[in-house]
Amino acid sequence: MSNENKSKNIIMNEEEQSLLLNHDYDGIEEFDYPLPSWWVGTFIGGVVFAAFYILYYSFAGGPSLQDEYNHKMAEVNKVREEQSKLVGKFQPDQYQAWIVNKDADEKALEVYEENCLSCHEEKGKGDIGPNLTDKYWKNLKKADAEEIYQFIIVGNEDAGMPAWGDVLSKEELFAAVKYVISIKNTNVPGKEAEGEVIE
Amino acid sequence: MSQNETPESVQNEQKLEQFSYDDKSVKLFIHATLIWGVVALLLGVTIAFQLASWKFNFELPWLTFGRLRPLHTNAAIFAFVGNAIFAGVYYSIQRLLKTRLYSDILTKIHFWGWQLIIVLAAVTLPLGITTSKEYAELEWPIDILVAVIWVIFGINFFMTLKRRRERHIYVAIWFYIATIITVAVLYVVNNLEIPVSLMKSYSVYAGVQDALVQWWYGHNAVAFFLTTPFLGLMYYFVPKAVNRPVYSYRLSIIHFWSLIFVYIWAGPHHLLYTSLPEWVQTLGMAFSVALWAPSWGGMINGLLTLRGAWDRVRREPILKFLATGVTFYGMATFEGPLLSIKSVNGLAHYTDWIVGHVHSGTIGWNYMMVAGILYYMVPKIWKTELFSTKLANFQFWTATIGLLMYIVSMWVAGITQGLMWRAVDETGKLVYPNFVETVVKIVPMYWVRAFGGVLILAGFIAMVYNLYKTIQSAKVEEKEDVFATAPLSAQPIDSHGGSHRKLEGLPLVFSVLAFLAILVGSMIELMPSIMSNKFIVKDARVKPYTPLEIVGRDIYVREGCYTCHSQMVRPMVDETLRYGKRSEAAEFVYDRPFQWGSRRIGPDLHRVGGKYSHMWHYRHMLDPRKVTPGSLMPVYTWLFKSKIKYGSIPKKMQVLKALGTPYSEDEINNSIRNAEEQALTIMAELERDGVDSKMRNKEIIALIAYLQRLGTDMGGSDEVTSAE
Ligand code: HEC
Ligand code: HEC
Repeated sequence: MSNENKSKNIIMNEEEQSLLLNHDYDGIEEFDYPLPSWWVGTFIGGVVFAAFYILYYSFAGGPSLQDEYNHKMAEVNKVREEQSKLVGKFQPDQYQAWIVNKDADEKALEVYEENCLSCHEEKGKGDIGPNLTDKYWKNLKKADAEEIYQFIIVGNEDAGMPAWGDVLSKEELFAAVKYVISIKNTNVPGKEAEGEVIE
Repeated sequence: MSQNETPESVQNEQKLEQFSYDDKSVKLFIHATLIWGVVALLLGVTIAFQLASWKFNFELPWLTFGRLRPLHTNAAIFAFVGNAIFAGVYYSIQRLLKTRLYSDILTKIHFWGWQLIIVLAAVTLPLGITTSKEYAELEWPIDILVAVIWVIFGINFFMTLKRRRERHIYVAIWFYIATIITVAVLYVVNNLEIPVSLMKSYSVYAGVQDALVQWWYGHNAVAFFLTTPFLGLMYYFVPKAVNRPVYSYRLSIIHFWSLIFVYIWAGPHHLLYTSLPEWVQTLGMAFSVALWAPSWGGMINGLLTLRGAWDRVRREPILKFLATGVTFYGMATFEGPLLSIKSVNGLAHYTDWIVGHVHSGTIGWNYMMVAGILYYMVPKIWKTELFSTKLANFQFWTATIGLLMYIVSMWVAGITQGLMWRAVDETGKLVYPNFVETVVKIVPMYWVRAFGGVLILAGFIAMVYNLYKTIQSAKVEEKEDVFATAPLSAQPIDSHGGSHRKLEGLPLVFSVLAFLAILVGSMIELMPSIMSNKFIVKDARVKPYTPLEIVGRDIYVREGCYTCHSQMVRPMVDETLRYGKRSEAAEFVYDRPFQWGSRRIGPDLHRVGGKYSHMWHYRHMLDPRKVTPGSLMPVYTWLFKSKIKYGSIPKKMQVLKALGTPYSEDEINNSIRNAEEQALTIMAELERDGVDSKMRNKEIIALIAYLQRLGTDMGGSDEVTSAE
């Protein structure tokens, strides 16, 4: 211990000597350096910030998270409504124009695999969702592009078919429709037929 | 230390008292630290690989992520760090107070009791026996044991303090006092629960209340188990190792009191944007920002104590570890306030950024400090030389590089995923509507993290080897060294010092003041939630769970689904688009315990009820990748084999009723029949999809019942776009 103390004194300069307190705990001594001013600054800054922050949001009517949320949600809902007007109406010429584009087949498969495969399985043979390759349909009156399009947009959420209008863009919806049409009546063996025969 | 050391104030050499140190117990705690350190890190590496590839779950119930993650956190905090704290505290207080530990017997009970707790945790958590409250998962009998052993530690500590031969208590002791008192309060309050059976209980708090109490605890477990004791250890071991005086006594005083006073308020920053009333969130954020300077006070005092010895820091492993530890403490306590700012939190919460943050604390600060302290203590206490400085340097570099890999990969993963979740395009649609896309994207980062973990573990094993070699080289010595010093009665309170100096001579008063300091914030934040029935506005549409749903919920808790799934849709545009209506406080009033979770490795589940068919869940739980390619969720085949334990339902409902869930006697009496009927209804639909009817009494059915109920009482997912 006494050795340790001695070696300590060697590395102490005058300023340090003057700041040394007469504390000694198991050989540990303590300086009493003044608080670094930048540290005092952050300390006071933090406290002042906290005080104003609490005042503003809890007492001075600062916007609540709910207010901010309502505001942003209203904006997005406006955009979405406009979009759903655009998307919601099936425009046959647009669809026809889209499906002849050279990447259409590739895109159709991609959209199907990413979004539909998990329930309708490979080639539409059916699993959690019905077999899409037979001529039996539960939700459609006519198995044409327009009907399929409209159905995919709203889905049948109670029965487990999501509403894709909320998720997919117009092009992606076209792609999904194209895929469903392309497998229609291919009669891939899979899930048993459900619904009515629709030619 | 020499035999005849005497403070200058004592002139009378005759009145010296003789004493020796109980270093045997310190040695035991050191062994335990080394052993549990390997276990905790090995578990961490295991679950890191489980996230990189689901195959590492091995399809075994007791090895799945949901059960091992709680074991990892508990092992790291309570087994590894806990034993290290006890070793360091017992080593340093004897020397700082010039006395032997109060009671050899209490120390023994403390040691063996704590190891028993760890073994019990290591058995029960993998079995799915858990309360699901993070870092407080242990079930009630073990909770009681923890409380008892902690109190024994407390008695042993305070009685040692009473028997001291050093009038004033040093700053390290201040931090130990705050630790012991606060951890006791936190642990007891958060673990109040009513037993259903020997290994199952329900929290006395529900929903929002439970969340608030839990994160008041959870945050302050970090504060008072991982931080304050280590600041105490820093104040002892850093000046000892570098052989320089502590930088600023004044700074010690200010940062100690401000730290413990402010820390206790910060818990709600874990619950920003949730259904917790906003004024509590505001308090949590404001105090977290104010916490920055008090935390840095500790770092400054640590680093500036090393001033003038930087050349030695470059050379000596002990100093290297200590300096790095304190630096990471500074980094983590800067990042913490930053993450508490609401807008930053909105991005980072539920992502890996938080996981990275925690590890810059636990690995950067705790592990590094422990390593430095052990390299200091072991040669001293065994009276020998360190076996290999090279190996110690090897550990330093592997740990540092591994940790940087960990932190950086988690920053990248967290920020990437957070941005992907919230990306909304100009048509008002999510850019990444498929959650799993955001998972697949960050899997490479999970590999980087896992290999970083391997490095950290390898370095630790090197230390274990190094220290055991060191210990082997020691001479066996049975006799304890005897020291002598003047009795306390011969040492007056320093009358030249200020009032704080006087306080340091009065440990009891000091302890009471420290207790009051942590009580203020706790009371102001917790009391309104516990006492006032206006805190949460009830909603008549929200009904208690059915008997089968209770069973399903308990399975959800048992499997630790909360380690990967939140149940809290925040008031944010992207969350409404992705999950549905924001979650309301009223929806959780029957949730004992709450299941809000803290990390979304999978999607939020609060609005999953009714989203999919029963068959979808059936398939998904059996093999997630059949339904969602790229998923990293484990398979749960055992839920398809084990039977629903209908017999336990009435007892569960009685306990819930006693806690305030309005079940009628009739409902309880008919609960088993009711559950069986609900199972049959679910079964009927599954049978239509080709499932064998003998599955009707399997646990999967109860789990599906619970999942389909989630978040449906107040409209559920139907109202996805109609929110405001
Ligand atoms: C979560 C599972 C799931 C996903 C994913 C899914 N579906 Fe479905 N789908 C169903 C279910 C279930 C039904 C049957 C609904 C019913 O019973 O009325 C269905 C029905 C349909 C039908 C009508 C079939 C009929 O017989 O009426 C079409 C067309 C369809 N889905 C197309 C799609 C397309 C295209 C996608 C991808 C964009 C898709 N589905 C994704 C589950 C799903
Ligand atoms: C290792 C983390 C992990 C664990 C543990 C885990 N999950 Fe998942 N879970 C995921 C991931 C990732 C997904 C997203 C991909 C998918 O659909 O499988 C997911 C998806 C889900 C979904 C679909 C949600 C949706 O909206 O599409 C449900 C339901 C689910 N999990 C339930 C559970 C239940 C119940 C448990 C506990 C028995 C559990 N999970 C445990 C990671 C996990």
